Amino acid sequence: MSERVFLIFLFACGAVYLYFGLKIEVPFAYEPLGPRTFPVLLGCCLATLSVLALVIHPMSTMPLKGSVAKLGLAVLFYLLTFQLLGFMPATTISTYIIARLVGSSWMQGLLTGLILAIAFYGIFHFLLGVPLPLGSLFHLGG
Amino acid sequence: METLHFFWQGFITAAMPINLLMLVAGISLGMLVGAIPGISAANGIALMLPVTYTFGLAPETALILYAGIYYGAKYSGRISAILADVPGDISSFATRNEGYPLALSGSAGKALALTAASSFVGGTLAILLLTGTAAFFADIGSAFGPPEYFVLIFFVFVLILTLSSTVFIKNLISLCLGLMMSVVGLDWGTGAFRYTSTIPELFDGIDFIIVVIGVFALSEAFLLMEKPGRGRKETVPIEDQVHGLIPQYLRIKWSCLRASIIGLLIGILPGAGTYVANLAAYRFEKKLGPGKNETPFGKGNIHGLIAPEAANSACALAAFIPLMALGIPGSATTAVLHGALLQMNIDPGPTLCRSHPEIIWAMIASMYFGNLLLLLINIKLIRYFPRVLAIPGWVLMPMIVVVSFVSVYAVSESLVSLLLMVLIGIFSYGLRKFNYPLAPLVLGYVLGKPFEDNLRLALAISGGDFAVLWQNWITILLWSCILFSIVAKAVVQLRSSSRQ
Repeated sequence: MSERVFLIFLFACGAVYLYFGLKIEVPFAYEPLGPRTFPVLLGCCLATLSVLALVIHPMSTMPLKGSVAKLGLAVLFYLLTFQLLGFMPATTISTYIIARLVGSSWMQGLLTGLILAIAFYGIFHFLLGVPLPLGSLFHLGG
Repeated sequence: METLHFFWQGFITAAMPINLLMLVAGISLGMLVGAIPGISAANGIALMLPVTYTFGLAPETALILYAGIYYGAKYSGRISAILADVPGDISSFATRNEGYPLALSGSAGKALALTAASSFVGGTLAILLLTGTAAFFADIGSAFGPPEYFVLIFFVFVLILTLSSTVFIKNLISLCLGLMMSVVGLDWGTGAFRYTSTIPELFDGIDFIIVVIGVFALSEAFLLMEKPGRGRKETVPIEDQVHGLIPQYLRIKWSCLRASIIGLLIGILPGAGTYVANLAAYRFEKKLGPGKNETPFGKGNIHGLIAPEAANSACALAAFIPLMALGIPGSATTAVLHGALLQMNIDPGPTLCRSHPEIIWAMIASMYFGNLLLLLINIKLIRYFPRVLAIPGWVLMPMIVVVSFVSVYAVSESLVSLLLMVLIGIFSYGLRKFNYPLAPLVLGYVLGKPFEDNLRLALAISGGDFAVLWQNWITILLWSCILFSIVAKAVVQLRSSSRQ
């Protein structure tokens, strides 16, 4: 991905931000600036700055490495399964995938996954009292 | 007299068992995250936020814990810098220049012990300064109203833009993005919803923990993924025994003092950070040159070894002065501390020293204990720390991801928050890839709300008259500082471009 694409993305962000900033409804306004000024200014700022950076700066490119993209997919997978499968299965599977990506053997990956899943569930559920999801797929814990 | 009283009270609070326990926990965790290259103090604090949340720790206890993580990490960044030529924390960047050659020549133990001692001296000087000035700043802080606070935050923004070594426009974009994130949520004055759509998770603004974990922890995992071999260089074993540390140390006391002063000065100024202090102190020593019969620089010079470490410890702790005194964080990590205070319903503004002296003084007192403890740990137990560096990547990486998810989930049990964290993480990875600094983003996010609110408050009071922003001596002084830093930056820029 090149920096140019990134800056165009930033510009789009600024434009969208500006658009929704202008649409902020003011129920009543008794102060001089109001809630709209700041967002509108920021949206303009980001759009202008990204165009400026596009014009005046030499652009670098960075190839998106396969390993990083794979990690991104693994994280997305974790995100999607977190509530669906429940914390423990999702953690075990995702940890296994990530560990394999970094170059572990399958045994190491599996062990890391199981230990992480059980340890974190134990710490958060019993020690801190944070209920981690048990998996809506199995109709456990909602 | 009042100060002495507060100070004594602070010591009593800091010596309470729970606070001592948290201090030890914070320091150990700090040393751990500092020693492992790729994980920084900000990550450590970010990951502890939900824990203090759910345990319901008292504010001073939580602050002692966070501060411990922070300076513990700055203290131990040198371990891998010396043993493996990889700075464990960016603030030990210059330490490897002399540390690694020394370790190769078989004096790793000596190098670690001497840097521990110099970090201790630098840190202690900074705490003394903090103790001495806290009361004074409390008085200044009470003179701050909305216009003054607005101009002060503006000054911090200008400083972080001008003092940083990265490209100016990238700094500005990063700051802008941070401010944009701070706008999200219910507007305090008018009840207008801004950028919330109908997502209830956004009504209160993007949660602080989501931003911090996304920006620091998750994006770090992506960066680590690129270089799985990083930090896996052979670590040099510690073989030598250290004898007669004190006489050795007395020989280098002046470089240590010089470097500490450099660190203090840079630490007080928001925006520069420990990395700059570390590098500046090293360059200064190098300029002075090696003394007679001393090893040349780059081959293991003792002065060049200890100066950067004294400077970064002094700087790390001196950064608490603007944070505590005026509620102004100067670096990414102190911004995280600032946000953590907000989470505990403490407003870390200029009035912090006045309204919550007990918290501030308990933290300052605990820093004396903490610094002493770090010295002891670093001299007595240093032999066990290289093992930490051997944590394999396949344990570390999944752990970062899992801990990030669990931390966010602990605070807000919803998929939307997790998704937001992942998106912010991926986006920050992009920013980091293209060399956009993250410190302005975090500062903008943390200070964005008070920035906007104080401006609007000031204008509401004055009835829309902008002159309120430069009406008394404090604001005029701040504006002249702003002008000065801009002019200075412009001059430096012009000079460097004409030289090329």
